[in-house]
Amino acid sequence: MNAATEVSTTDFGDGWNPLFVKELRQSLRSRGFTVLFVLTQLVGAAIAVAALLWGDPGPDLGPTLLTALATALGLGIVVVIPIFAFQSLAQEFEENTLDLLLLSQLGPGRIVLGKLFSALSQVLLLAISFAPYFAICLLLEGVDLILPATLLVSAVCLSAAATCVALGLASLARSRALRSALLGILTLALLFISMAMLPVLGQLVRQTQILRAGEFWGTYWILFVLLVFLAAMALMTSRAHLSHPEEAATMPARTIALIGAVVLPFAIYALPAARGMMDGNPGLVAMVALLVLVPAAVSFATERGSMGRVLARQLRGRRAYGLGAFLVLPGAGRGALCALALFILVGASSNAANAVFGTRASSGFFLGDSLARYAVLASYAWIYLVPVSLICSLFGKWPAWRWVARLAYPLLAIVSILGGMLIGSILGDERMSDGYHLLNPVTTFGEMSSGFADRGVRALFAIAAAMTLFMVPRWIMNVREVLRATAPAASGAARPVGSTASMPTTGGN
Amino acid sequence: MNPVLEVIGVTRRFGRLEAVKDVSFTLHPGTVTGFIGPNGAGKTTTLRMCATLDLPDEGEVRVAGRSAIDDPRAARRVIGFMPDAFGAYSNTTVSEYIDFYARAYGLRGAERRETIASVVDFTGLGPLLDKETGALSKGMKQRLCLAKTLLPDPRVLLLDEPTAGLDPRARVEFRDLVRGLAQLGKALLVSSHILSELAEFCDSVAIVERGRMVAAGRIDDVGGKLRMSQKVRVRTLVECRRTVLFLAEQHGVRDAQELEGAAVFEIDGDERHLAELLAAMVSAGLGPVDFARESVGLEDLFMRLTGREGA
Repeated sequence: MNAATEVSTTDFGDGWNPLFVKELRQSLRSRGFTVLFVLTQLVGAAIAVAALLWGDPGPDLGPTLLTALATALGLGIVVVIPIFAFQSLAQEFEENTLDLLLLSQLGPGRIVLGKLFSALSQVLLLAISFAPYFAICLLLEGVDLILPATLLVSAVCLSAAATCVALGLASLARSRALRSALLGILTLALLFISMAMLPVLGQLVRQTQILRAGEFWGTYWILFVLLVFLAAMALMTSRAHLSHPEEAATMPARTIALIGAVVLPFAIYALPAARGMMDGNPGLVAMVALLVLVPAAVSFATERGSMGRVLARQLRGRRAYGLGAFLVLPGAGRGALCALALFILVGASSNAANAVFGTRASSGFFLGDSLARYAVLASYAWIYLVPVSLICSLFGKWPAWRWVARLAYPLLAIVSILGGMLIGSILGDERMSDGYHLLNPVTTFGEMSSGFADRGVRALFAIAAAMTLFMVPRWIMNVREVLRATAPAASGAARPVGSTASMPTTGGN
Repeated sequence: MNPVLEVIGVTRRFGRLEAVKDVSFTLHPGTVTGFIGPNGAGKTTTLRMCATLDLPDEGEVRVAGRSAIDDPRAARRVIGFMPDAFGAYSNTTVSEYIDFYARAYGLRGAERRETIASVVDFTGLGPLLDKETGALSKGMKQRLCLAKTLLPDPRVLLLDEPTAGLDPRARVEFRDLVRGLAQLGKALLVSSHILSELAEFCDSVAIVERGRMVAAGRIDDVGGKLRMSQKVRVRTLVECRRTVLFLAEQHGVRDAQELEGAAVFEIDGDERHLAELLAAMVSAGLGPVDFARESVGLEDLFMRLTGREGA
């Protein structure tokens, strides 16, 4: 190789995220990926050979082979790769190398993205390596190009979202015990999701006409949007944890919040369902969990008394870094805003799907009629985050109070939601037992806006009302925190640096 | 010369524990400062705040005149931090490790290659470039981390227990590297509790105990401010025994004795007392021809300071 070629080769990656290059190189050389790759190839080959040699040649052979191949690939890319990503970030804490990365010019965002893209490259590599087996399916009866393509794209999207969540969880894992616990939870959750997808996969493969129904694509779009938002929120949370050392101190609160956020929707679902007040659908439980988990995670990840100080310093320096301008809305405000955005976007995408496909997405393929009901229930959860945030700010000087306030969050939500529903049930009021009662702030503001004829105006009114009543106190608190934190800083700035002469100094002149 | 790092009244609390309390010191280019304190004294916490990896609850850290709290990114371009313990990446060679960090520090093209070559040359990692980082010895890992830290050419180097766990040869080599860096005009803050080692290459010390700054400054100055007794060796034109007898009668002089043809004694007080004593010796016709202070031992200084605090 001559000098010019060597230079062009070594300079090739200059424009790339260095962490992505390093992570990909490391992971492709790792024993874990090698084993995974060889194993999936062996399983894929074994399935294809077994199906071709011993399978019953008929219209079912293609779909059966495709189901088996998709399951094998799915387990690899939806379960194992996200676990690799989790371990990759967790190892940075374990090996004390994260500090070295943060001190370089790689920001927390590039660190997280580098790890994400490395994982996605592995996913693509595995997916491409399965292409020959999928091609065999195409030669068989009952499988057209759309089906394996849809399955591949879906698996890759699911894997990407799962990897983002894994990175978000890994950013919490600063202690070995928590790391093990979170890894266990992540593994179980990924296995559960994979298993839950199997019946859907079977249904899709055997009833391919579903793929031609607008209703399916409407629902698919909603789920895709949800996955994108879940992934974005997880990445944002992860980035926040890496940006601010102080986030580490809120780890116990975050852990409780996460557990609460998972348990709460199940509680919301399970109690009324047990009393026969609702029809059950596990997919909806996952939906509610997502809508509650995301804002709660974002909220408690950033709720801390000293955040005002961080914000004030950023403003003082006229430079927003880390969470940057997003810090203007700390704590639960951020969580609530995320939830609000999530709701609006889910609604907007539903409407878009309705317009494009001529369907009613809320009664779509997977979700059922009760989506709106569950959305109302989920709305409680995040709306209660806001007063809790306010209480945390007011009583933030006394950590015990903050804990009480945080614990009050799930209690308030459960008592309020279930209490109202039980009362409605006892009174025989179906609307109230479904969650549309006065204790639900969203419903209350919706009722207030009912005088307006235009639906858009009514929706805006409801959002504005909620924002005004629940957000303004929080903003006032923020302003107070900033003023308080800035005042001593301003007087400190007037002090000349030369005043350090009164202090002990080192070094020679 | 303007200080390149100023730590001004920094306090850091972890819950009820005040890990660092009102710590202040400055670093100047071309100096090596020993950051001394027992385990749990707050050395690492202070270093992490200087390195922008932690935020102080109170106080200010200025790097090259700019607030490291308000603008940590600017500070990170000036500061190099070497933690006390760190892991090496698996499946990565020394060459790839250094190349990765060079890219992570934003070095591009020819600049990157030249910087890597000079850093590898300075740290002596040349023969190890193809070796896996996981297979390196502790001493070589320290060199590798130092190489990584030097890549952006920082003006301030914060080294947290850099020689912990190193064998004697690696310590000597590391000490030479530190001296070389100071000669290049870099300001170094080296945390350690191996005082004999720090005494060999530190110009100044900053001593912390239980999160509080006990003393900071040039080693002799700190000793002088503490009014520590100084050991002096003097040779005169007259008989040594006569000199010893003269010294024994002087105010503030203790333990005057003859040692290897010279009079050795301890004296309480500052340099003015020494000057007065020298003048008295001349007046008395002793004819001093050699009058040398022995420098204050770092261990003595540390024990004296921390002992006094503890009392």
